[in-house]
Amino acid sequence: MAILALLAVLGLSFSNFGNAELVFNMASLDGFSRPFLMVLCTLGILWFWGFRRFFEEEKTTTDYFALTLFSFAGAVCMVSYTNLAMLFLGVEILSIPVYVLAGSRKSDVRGNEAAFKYFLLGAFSSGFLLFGIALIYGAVGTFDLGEITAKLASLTPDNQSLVQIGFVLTVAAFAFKVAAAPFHFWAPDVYEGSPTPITAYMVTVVKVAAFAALLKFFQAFEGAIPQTVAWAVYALCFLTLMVANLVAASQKNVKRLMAYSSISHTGFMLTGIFSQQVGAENLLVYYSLVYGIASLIAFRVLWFLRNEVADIQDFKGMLHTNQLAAVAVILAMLSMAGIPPLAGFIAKYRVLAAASAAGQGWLVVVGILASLLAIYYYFKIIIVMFEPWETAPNRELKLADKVFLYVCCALLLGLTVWPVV
Amino acid sequence: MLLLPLLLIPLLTAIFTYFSGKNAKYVSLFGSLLNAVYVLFLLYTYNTTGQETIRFSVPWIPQLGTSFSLMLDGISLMLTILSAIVMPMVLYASFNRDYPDRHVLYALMMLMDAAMAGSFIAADGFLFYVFWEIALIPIYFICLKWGGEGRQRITLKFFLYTMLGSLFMLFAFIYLYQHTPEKTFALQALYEAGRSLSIAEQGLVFAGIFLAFAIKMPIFPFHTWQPETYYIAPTPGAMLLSGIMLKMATYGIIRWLIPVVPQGVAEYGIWAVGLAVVSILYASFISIVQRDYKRLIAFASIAHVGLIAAGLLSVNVQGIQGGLVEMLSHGVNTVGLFFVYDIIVTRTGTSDMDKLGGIRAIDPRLGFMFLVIVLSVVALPFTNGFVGEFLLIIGLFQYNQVLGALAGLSIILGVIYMFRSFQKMMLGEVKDEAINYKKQTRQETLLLLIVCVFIVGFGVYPKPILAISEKSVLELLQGIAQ
Repeated sequence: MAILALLAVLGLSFSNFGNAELVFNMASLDGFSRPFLMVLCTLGILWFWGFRRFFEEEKTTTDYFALTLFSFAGAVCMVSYTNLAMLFLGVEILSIPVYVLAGSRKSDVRGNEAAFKYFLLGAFSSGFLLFGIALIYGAVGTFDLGEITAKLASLTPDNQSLVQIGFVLTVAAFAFKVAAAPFHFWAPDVYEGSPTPITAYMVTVVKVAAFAALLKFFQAFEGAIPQTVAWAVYALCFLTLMVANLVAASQKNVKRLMAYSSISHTGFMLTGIFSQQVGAENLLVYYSLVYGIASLIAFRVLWFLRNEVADIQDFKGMLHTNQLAAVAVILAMLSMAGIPPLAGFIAKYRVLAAASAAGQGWLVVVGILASLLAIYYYFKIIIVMFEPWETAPNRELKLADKVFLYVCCALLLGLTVWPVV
Repeated sequence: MLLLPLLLIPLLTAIFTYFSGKNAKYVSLFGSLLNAVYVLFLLYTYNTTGQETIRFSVPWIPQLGTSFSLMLDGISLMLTILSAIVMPMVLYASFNRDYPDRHVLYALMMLMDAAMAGSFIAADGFLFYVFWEIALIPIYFICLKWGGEGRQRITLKFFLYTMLGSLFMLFAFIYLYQHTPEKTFALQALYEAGRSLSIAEQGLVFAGIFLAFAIKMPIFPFHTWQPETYYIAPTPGAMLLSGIMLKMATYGIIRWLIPVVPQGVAEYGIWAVGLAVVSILYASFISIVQRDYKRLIAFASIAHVGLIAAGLLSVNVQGIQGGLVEMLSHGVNTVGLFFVYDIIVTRTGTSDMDKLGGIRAIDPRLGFMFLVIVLSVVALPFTNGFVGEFLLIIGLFQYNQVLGALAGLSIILGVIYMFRSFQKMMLGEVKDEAINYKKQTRQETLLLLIVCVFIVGFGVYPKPILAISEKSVLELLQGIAQ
């Protein structure tokens, strides 16, 4: 079953290379969406591969499969939409299966709490999204992104303010989806409570899809965003960077720590795409790929430790007990912390360079401070792994999982030496 | 093409060392000696071609405007020679010591060597930054795995501190990059961009870059990570940190600070020089009251590097030449000092100078060689320390007489703390800790002998070394004057 799904996704990703532009009226496979689809498929395949045992263990395998693939379809809609209605559909298709998956451990209180919280707040944000889209539609009279961009210049002042409110509301909805502060409160609880594979899915595929959609949305409104609104978005970046890293520094639970780390990466990605907007695709593609692979490594190893509470001490002495996993985690942590010359550094660097080019020098300083804080908490994990071990839970990784880690590390290093995009 | 082996030899050695198991020490020593031979060959090529700068460049990440460009002129060559000399010594010094997983230790050391060599020959701002940071990762892990008590906290502080500084340097580089017409990090383009800035902007860029170097050297008040880190670092780590790594910062001042924002340095440099002089005096006074020999070396290192920084920032021939020579001498002397520490501490188990005494009576050879190193550290004429410090103080004196005079005090203060350490450990009665003291082994004698030969040889006849960098330094100063 697992292999079947893998092949399906593989096929999907290969078809991207050959396909000519398939234009529906509401979505298109073009220069924008294709790289993101590739990223999504890469992450998706890696995810299915790394976490395939999740499906083997659960009783209702087929359900889980259907749900994940269904949500993956939503992600595909989100990266290729050209129509706001399609965007909304994509968001919902993506989210609803994830709400279910988050609560898939039915007997677990935390899992249920996570699912419920995610669902409730997710529904709330969908409301925002719908409201925002409606306002934009009301002002412009169309859902089509291209037409919206064309008509933005010739709006009456009244309609302009409508569009602005719609823009802010939609961005707020996205900020919820990507967990940008102050819309992030659900994230640590949900990430902690959900089964680790689902958390990994949320921080990779879901987040990348939401960011791609957000970038497309920004690009459609490029030049029409008034200064005050722009400042609001920059404030969002600032808050996300600071809050996430400050809170993460004091976390002891690794899953929560990874949640805050993921929020901090949200801050970086948001800063990058909002500062650059036009032409930020490459930046975002690169960032999401690097961040996604590093996250998959971290969550895979976390899942290997198999402790749903996952205290930081679980990593203790791992360098001695399980060298491959430890080295992979060190690599992932160094990359996420943005230590040169690893890919994570180049990704963060591009973000800061974009912010600097947009004249947001202060945001660069904030970003620098944020990445310093980030080093502090990523290194906490590394330091623990170096400590001598006392109790050795000497479980070996399966061969396929070893290969998975090798492939992920190789990809990460490959992206370092040869930053393709 | 000539320059690639400078990176590849240590890098390949690191890989081979990692997989060579028990023979790790021989493999790494062989690699580093090979590297040294290659550097000699480069020196020969450099001199026979009339000291032409050797260059190499291939595109790397065109989207970011950065290319993989290397260059080797006299200044870079001096530093390359330094690491080529010091590296085999550091490896050899740890030959007879017990380190667990030593193949990993040596592989990390060689990796660090590659990164440091890269930072000495990088001709692209981004590339320099990348090498600068890569060098930090192995030393962090060396200190974390083989370090002493409290290493987790101390190494993290060290890492965060240096990272903070270097991120500001990166910020300054990005700022310059945006002022280059064709959006590139190439050295020459950054020079032009920096010089086209207004004085106030140059001051900001100066502050950003200087912060990175001031932390790495370190200079008061950014030094707090250093004594602790040196103290917990395993001896080879400490040797690398102070022997080669801090020279990345002093080299950076010559290559990546003074020519980038010359007017900024002329305008605001006095603050930096002032800090450096404060640093000299502060560290010297603390050294005088140190009880622990290793901490004393750490603070002495701050004092010396402060003098180097002050001399370099005086921006004249004597200052810069003196700085380069002193970097070389300091690298070798530091290895000697730390090695004496290592010899004593493996025998007595303590580096507390109050508990030691009379070692010279037991082991006169060690006493004599230690004395030679001490004399060089206090800059006695006919030792290598003298050449560098003399030039540095001349340079600084031309820049500002008051600061020059204050910095000159460092030699007197140096005499106090170095002689005091010699007296306490080597002379007087034999204390309890030293009672079962064993004489030094042949390996130890050999290494100290090499250090002593270098000290005296170079002290008596410094001309060939001075000649290596002279032309490049003059060119650099001419470039600034325009």
